[in-house]
Amino acid sequence: MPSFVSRTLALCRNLFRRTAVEQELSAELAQAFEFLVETKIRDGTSRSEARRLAVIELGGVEQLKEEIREVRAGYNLEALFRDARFGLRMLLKTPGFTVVAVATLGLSIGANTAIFSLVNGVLLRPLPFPDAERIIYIEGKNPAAGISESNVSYLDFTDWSQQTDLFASTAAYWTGEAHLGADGGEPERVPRAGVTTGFFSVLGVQPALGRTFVPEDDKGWPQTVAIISHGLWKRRFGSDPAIVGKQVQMSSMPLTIIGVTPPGFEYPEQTQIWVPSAVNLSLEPRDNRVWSAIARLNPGVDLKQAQTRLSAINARLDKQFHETNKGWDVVLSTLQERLVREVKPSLLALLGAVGFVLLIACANVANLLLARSAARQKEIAIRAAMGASRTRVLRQMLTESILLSAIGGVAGLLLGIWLTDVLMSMLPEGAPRLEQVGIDYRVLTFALGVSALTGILFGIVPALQASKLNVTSALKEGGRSGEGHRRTSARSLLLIGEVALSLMLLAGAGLLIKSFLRLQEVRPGFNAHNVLTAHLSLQGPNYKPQQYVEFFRQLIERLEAEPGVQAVGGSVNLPLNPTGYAIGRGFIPEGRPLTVEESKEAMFSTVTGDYFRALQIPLLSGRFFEPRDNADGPKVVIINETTAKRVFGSPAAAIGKRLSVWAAFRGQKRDEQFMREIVGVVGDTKTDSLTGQGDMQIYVPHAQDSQWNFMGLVIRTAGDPAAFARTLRREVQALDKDQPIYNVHTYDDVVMNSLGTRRVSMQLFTVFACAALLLAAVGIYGVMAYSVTQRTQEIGIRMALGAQKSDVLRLVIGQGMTLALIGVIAGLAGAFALTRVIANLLFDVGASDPLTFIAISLLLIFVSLIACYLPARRAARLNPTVALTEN
Amino acid sequence: MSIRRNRPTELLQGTLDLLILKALAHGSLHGLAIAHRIEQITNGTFEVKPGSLFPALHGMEEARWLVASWGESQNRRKAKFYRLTKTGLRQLEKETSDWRRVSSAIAAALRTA
Repeated sequence: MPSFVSRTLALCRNLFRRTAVEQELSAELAQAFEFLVETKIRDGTSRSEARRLAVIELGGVEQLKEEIREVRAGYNLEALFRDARFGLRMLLKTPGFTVVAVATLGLSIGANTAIFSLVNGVLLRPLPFPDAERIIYIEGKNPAAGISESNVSYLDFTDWSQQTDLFASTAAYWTGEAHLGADGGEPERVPRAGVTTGFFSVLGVQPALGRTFVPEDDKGWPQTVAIISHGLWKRRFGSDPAIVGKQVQMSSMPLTIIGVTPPGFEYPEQTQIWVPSAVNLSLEPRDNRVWSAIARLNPGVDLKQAQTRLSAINARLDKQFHETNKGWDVVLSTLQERLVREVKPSLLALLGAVGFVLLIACANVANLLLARSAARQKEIAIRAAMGASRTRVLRQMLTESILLSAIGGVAGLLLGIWLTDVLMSMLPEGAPRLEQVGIDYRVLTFALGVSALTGILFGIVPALQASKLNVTSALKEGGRSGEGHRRTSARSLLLIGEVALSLMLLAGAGLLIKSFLRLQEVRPGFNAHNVLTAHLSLQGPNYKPQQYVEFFRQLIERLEAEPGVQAVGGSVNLPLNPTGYAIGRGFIPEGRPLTVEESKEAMFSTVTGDYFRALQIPLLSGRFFEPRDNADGPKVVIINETTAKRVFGSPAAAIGKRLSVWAAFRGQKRDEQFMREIVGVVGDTKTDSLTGQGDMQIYVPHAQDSQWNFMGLVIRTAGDPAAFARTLRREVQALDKDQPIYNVHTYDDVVMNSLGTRRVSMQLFTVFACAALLLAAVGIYGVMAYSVTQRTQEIGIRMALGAQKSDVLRLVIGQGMTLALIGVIAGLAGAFALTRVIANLLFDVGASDPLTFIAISLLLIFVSLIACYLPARRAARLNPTVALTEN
Repeated sequence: MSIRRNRPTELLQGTLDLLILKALAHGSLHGLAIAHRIEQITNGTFEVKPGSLFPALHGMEEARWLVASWGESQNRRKAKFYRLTKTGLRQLEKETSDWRRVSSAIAAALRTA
């Protein structure tokens, strides 16, 4: 029989039939004893003498039993159970300690679990596609022109796609929106993507119903076929099993549905409808860099190889098409990395921060344990005297701390699950991959691992201390002033570490808060308060460009007539970009070519109504648009301050000058073949984000650029703008009941959302830093309070010898503050090294901003002072007589 | 993590196991009877104390070299009798040949000047 089988059987017997095994053992030894006695009687010894000799020969029966038990299988396991049972009893005996320790651990393990589950879902979990690590995202860059990430040109993409030895398949796509409802249903807009044939095979997605695209599906514009998402199929088409082949109206085009995607598939960006890309190769200019591109690498090809090859192709294209491709290179990354690129630094910083909180919590619990093990010296000494070896004591202590961390871990896991939900609700809309966040085996393993690790981490120092105990002195000193230097220094070190860690965390939080405040001080160039915004995109056969203009003119007129409305306007490009896409156009001032510096695209807005007054964008020179700037009137344009200064010298100088607008890509008939007169100069607004700056902006009236069927409306109200949404919807429906409004927000929310994850990172970081500060304060207080208790007698003697209250105060505070100050200095050193990590999360604040560092140090010193003062005051109030006679 | 009792040196421990196996080679015996038999067959050289005997017996039982059963001793008392299993018998053969090799090697070593 293999020995492990016999050991296992023995183990089972020992564990589960323990009583029987023990009885058998007693019986066997009793029999042995009798046998000895009888043998000795047979040899002629008297019965009583024989018994005496037998006892001596057998030795202590209990010790013998213990020795036999030790060879048995499962001895260690049994000892563990015993330790755990005893540990639990000890924890229950000191409920105050246990509650504080479990709460500290539970909270910090919970916070760690929550942040980790976020990191896990967003960064660690693979994308839900087969062999997702082989899916790559292709971007352009042009370092010479200062462009680090850009969409790509379709013609460049076709050149890359020919590298069939690199790619199993490739796809290019664009995103937009589709309008549903022309066929009688509820009007709504859903995200739509136009994709090339390879799209679904790059992602490895099989349709749930029907089929995916084949090359014959792409018959150019307008498209005739579509694939819809599982969600849309369920929601809008009632999970109709015969949906494939049916026709629906999407954005007033009849489309035949050819397939339904599997549940959960909504790439890219919650897309609900996929249509053929309808690219027209003969019209597509090579510098139209508006396409997104993905590819699936062949097995055995790595990212680097593909990058090298595509860069080489691009170098060739640069020579061949110098005018359009000068300086353009390509950047490959895995799709997963691309999706999380923006949030990865914040997430990792948060994980680090919450890890610090856990470390501080560990230090705190370790301190508690140290204080407790000092109180338990006598018990430990007795155990040692009874023969428990050092390892035995060490094991007992560690079992207790792991028990604590296990309870804390369970509490933490439950808390973490809840906190994850809270976190998710805090995150801004559109943060990537949130649908992947959840509790899975990785999160469970993490929580478990963290709990076990903390148990060992905070348990090991006190356990080592306890096991080093000198039995005789501990018993003699009666466990009162028996605290050795080593224990004190261990506690001091923990305290210094705690203060240092909290300082680093506070410094990080301080820098983030300061960045956030700086961001909020940024003047966006308009007044977002009391403004409601909504988008409206006219769909249907009834609308032609001149009707677009008329519809919005009428709508704005009706809205302005509503009570409480101060100004209403619309623009195809709203500041801070609530739609996520922006329209750029170039322009040429009359009479001279643009310099290189000027030739960058301007942010182009076609506006209608009282747009500038609605957003309170200041007029610097000239005038706003007026009703006379209509299709028949002279063509006019308004520019922003940056454009005026850069191109014309000053706002005043720009008035009366003329320019012509051209579209983003040449070769297409979108250039305006006429001059526009500059009639006004307005202040700059932040186009893309609060951190951006210095964009040129040009505005033209809708009546003179009527191609736009959509507008971002802005409505300035006297009261709460959110309350106006209902009126807005009613007025729109009164004009055309089939037109949905979407992206309805107050402009304050738009500003908030433009800060994205920044705000959440700052809030969380601050919460963690406050938790750290609190923990550190409690830690300092605990250590000092304990030290005062330990030194009661000494303080009594000092006072009896004439020390004043102030001397005692100074003594205690001095002791605590020395440690705190060492911690602050260590923490500052650490902060200088570590805040660099979050440098890219900061705005307008240096990673080692001296003011922040000083303020944080002062805050920590102040809190430490309070934490020291309370125990010091208690010490100073001691009555020397009582102190000396105590105990 | 556990605390091991102080074992005799490896050789002596092995020797005790070997002697117990040998003592049981011809039939089952109860605990102290095994000690007696060892004393007999070693001409009184080895006196096995209960403190070494019983832990060794239990260890060997858990390793399934021995099985124990309760029976009646000569003086008609219930006693726990140990006997060899097949594994135990193989172990005895192996340890016997090991011992022979070691002892002849040591003897040879001691013969050299």
